[in-house]
Amino acid sequence: MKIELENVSKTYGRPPNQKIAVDSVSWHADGGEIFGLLGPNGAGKTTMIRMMLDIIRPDHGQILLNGEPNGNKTLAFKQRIGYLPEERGLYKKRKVLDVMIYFAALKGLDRATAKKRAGEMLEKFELTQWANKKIEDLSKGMSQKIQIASCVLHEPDIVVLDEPFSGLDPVNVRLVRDTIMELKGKDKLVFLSTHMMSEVEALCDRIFMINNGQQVLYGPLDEIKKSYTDHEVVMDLEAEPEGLACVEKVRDSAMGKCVHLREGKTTHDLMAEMAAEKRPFKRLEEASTPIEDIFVSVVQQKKAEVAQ
Amino acid sequence: MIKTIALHEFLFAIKRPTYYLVTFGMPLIALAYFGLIAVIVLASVPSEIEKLSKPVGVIDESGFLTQDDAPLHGVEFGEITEIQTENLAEIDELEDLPIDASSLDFLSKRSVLLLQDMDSARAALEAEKVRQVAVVPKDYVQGEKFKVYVKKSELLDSAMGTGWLSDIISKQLLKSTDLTEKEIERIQHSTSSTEFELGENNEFVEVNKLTKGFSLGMPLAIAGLLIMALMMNSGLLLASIAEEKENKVMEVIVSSVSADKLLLGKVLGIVMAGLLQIFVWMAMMAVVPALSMMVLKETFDYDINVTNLVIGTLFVLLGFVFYGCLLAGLGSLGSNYKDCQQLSVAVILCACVPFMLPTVFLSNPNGMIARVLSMIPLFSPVAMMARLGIDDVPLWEIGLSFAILLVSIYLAIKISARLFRAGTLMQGKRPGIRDIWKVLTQPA
Repeated sequence: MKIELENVSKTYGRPPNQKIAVDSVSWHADGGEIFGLLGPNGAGKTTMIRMMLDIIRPDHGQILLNGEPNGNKTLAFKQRIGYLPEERGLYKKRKVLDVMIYFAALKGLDRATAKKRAGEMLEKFELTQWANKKIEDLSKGMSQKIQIASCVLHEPDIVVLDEPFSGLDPVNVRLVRDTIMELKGKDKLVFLSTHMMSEVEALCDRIFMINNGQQVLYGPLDEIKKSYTDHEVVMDLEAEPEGLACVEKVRDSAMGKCVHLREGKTTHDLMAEMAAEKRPFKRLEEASTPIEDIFVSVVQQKKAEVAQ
Repeated sequence: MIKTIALHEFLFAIKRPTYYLVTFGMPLIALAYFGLIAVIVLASVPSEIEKLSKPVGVIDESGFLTQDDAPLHGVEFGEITEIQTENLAEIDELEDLPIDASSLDFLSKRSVLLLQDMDSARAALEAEKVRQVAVVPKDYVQGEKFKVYVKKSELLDSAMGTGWLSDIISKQLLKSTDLTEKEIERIQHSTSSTEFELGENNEFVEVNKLTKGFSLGMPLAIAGLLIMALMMNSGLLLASIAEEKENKVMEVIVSSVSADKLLLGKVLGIVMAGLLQIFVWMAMMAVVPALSMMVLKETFDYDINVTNLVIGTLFVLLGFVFYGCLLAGLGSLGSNYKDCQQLSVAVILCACVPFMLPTVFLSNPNGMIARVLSMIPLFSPVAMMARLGIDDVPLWEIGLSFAILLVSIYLAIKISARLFRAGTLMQGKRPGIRDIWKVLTQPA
């Protein structure tokens, strides 16, 4: 399933208190990838997700599903998505299994199938013994797992997870991460909106970053990281690249020796010179800036622009 | 999808403890309430009878009561005698009631103590031999009034009347004329009229007011029950919306199903719960109407127009759905249950308006106001039910009103779904007029 946003905009309020939540953004995402939706709080991520899921309608632009405009307004689409919103909860007074079956029924599953799949998901998330307990008896983490399980119970083609890791311990973070990877393996399209940059690095294939309603970054994660990285290579601390013709300067860092190459020189040139001069090294990789640093620098840059 | 939501809402409603309390508690409370009233009334009957059967002291200064042929002729002062004041068997109105006139004999007789003067009257009152002393003045015919003396006056004392005395005196006065006994009887008893109305085939049919009242009462009682169920269950509908807002489940649900379907599913679920409630109420109270019908059927021939009853019930059911949609739409604008409830009061008041204007329907069921009210969907369910109970309503009016109600339900669903969409996503914040207007006017 492929989903596209074309010049989509959404404003709230009226002048002079008008706020542009999403300002003419365009992107597309396809099955079998994990698409990261990033941005600071209030940047417009949730509005974008809500428009994509037809919970609210855009003021301008269009949303295409497999190339078809308004495809996201159909019941068929609604039944093929799984959504875990940031502001979420469950029916506190009802039993876990009943809630899961109801959510699955809303997605078009018959009761017997819903019950069977709910049982499987509860087993996977190690919550089988809680099936007949009321939601209010569950801990926050357990409740979160129930919501994620309900979100994927009907085997949707598109899964939208808004902050799925918040409130989870490391064991459960890994469980959710594995679930996301499993979905990707089944050719599902997973949208991941999170502030946990380590998870973005570990999971996302491509990202879209929004700030003050505007697109600031969009593309494959590796390429974005590379584009924000100086012409550097990281080597182990025992390597000896100093003085080579292609090397401009070397500095030590927590990751190892950061080797800044001269203009026009590549990693291959460095490897060739190291080999020619029989210099020892155990590790050599192209440096890339952590996405967290990119995130912070982009947001600060935009702030500075606005201040000017 | 609507079925799934409706079933979920229905189960949500009927599993709540308050639902059980209202469904099973209401008839019991009603029975207990009316039972208590009955006990109080029955407990007061012996003292009332005792009061009525106590003698009345009479001082006859006029001589009308003691003259020849008069009821107190030959009675000694200080002597108690019983006189016949009215023959209940001859009262027309009693014929229509399921009561044996002989059981009310004590009402038609008076125990009278003839007294000589005010001193003996004072003594009789002091000794509580009499409940009152009535003095027939000498110049009664010239216009002087009766005087009634009691030990202690009571407001609204049923035993203080002197009508029976004036009846006796009028009879005595009429006897002195040339009128026959029968003519005197006729003059003394006011006569009621028999009413006729033009029925089918342009023929006059006798009007039975009790039957007519019953024909009106039945549909109104059903309308009343449905309105009551609406009032009781509107709380459940709002609680369901408030719960989903407060628990933040709403966003997941509106991503799975359109707001229209969610709204309609919710309303239908609550309507089902309301109908079940009415069914239980009727089943629980079936004993009372069944008994009363048996009694009434023997007494007078009541006639319920089944077609009108079915049409009326359909109106009220559609009204239930219409009000439900409005309630859900308005309710979703509130940020919590309390807010939702306040917003819903206006809708429930509208449903009750026709009940507040009974004279409009009773005096002129096919008049302009009644006809207009039965065309406005906010009032038409109850208004049409009332009109159908009282008089024949032209078929085209029923059809038009029905069509207006159906279109209104469609529009209510569409508009409420938009309000719902706007309201449900604004958690913790009530949308302003501008927000609502924007939601209502933006293209679908």
